[in-house]
Amino acid sequence: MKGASVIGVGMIPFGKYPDTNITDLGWPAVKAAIADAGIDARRIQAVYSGTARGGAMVGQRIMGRLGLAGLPIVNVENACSSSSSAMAQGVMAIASGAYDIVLVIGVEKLTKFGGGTLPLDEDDWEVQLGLTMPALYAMRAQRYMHDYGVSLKDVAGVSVKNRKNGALNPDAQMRKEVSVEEVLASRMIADPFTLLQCCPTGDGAAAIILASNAMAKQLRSDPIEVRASHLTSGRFMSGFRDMTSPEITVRGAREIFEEAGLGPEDIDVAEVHDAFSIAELIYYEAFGFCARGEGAALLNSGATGIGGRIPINPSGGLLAKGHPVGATGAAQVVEIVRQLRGQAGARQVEGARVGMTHATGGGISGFDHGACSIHIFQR
Amino acid sequence: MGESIRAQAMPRTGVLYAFSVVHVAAKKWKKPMRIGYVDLKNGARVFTHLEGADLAIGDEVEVGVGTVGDDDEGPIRSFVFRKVER
Repeated sequence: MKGASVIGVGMIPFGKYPDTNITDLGWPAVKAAIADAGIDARRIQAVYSGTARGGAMVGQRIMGRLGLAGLPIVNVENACSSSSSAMAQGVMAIASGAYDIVLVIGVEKLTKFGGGTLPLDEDDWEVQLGLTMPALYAMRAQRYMHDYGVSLKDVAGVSVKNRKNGALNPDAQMRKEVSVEEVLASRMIADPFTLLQCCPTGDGAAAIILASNAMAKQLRSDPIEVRASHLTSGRFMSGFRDMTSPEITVRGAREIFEEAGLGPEDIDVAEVHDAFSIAELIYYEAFGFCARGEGAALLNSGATGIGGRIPINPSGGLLAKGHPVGATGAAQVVEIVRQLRGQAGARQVEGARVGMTHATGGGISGFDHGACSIHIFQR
Repeated sequence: MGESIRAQAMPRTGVLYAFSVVHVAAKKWKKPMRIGYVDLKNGARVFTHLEGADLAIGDEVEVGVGTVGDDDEGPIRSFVFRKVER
């Protein structure tokens, strides 16, 4: 198998672009990634484009606008893991030997829904009864606080940390720091979550150019190697399950660490799927950055802040950078590549050599989540 | 994997595993909307609407019927769980 490396990244700042269509959100990110790679765009041999709610043929629309269509384009839908799943397809396409250079896109426009919670599939029986994503994560939070005696102030601390990071990121949707008092005093969405413990509604796009390791070394002096790439789906369970431990991410973490020959202690920086405040604490534990029930203590110790032992979501994460769902996985890769190249500016994690991205999602009855894709990168 | 599915009577009581009082949801739902997961003694977990202001994780709850919202066709009736009064 051939290894893959990232040779170019680009994104548009996440935010609200109600007057811009999805094609026009997407192409500037692709153009930026091509410019960053410094290659002739005609060298791209295949495209994997992720969107959850963008509709049909989004990859073709974007490449057509750039005058670059007429090559294999695969559109990928996997809810919040759409572009991280597209990334896994791109890595596999390089590994197969079929291509030397491929493009991965993530793009989403959520402002078209006019606000409120993310629309879910009405065929699902829990959705038919009124389940929303904030309510699902809220139940996880309630049970977590019950089982581990963690206070709401501790959980809300995730929002404080990630908004602080987002203030340092020009590509973040939310660029203002908030205090824990402001987080707790914001409007109630689904108890215990106030508005500032929920990721914002927004739009965005991100793109990545992958090359085989051999090609990457010819094209630039500082390619970022994909050390391991992982994609899995949740498992259906109709009976009791522990909502404080995310089955799909626990399994994904174990499998990718095995594939990479690494452990949690080897990760210097990570972007994880903090769609709601509680999620980040649960994922600290799922990846083994701390023991079960120790997530709040890890956060409060400062270990997961920039400059800490294991900085998490230096970009601001979903809570501050924003979560245009299908674009999230690709944007996480953009952040980790910038961190490993030393191009992250005021939010730079000093000396980071190994980084990780994690995007999971898809609310389906009986599943922890529908999909989860994790990547580990090294310079 | 199997296709041998059949209707079965379910226990009427269970234990509240987790719940949330939801303030933002589709217009048709009565708000605040109390929803949660109830674990039945036969091993099944049910997603359900709840009634009662003083609910807590671990409460024993019992199934009934209630109005949980309103849509174009009138009141939305559903099974709901309420705390078992001792």
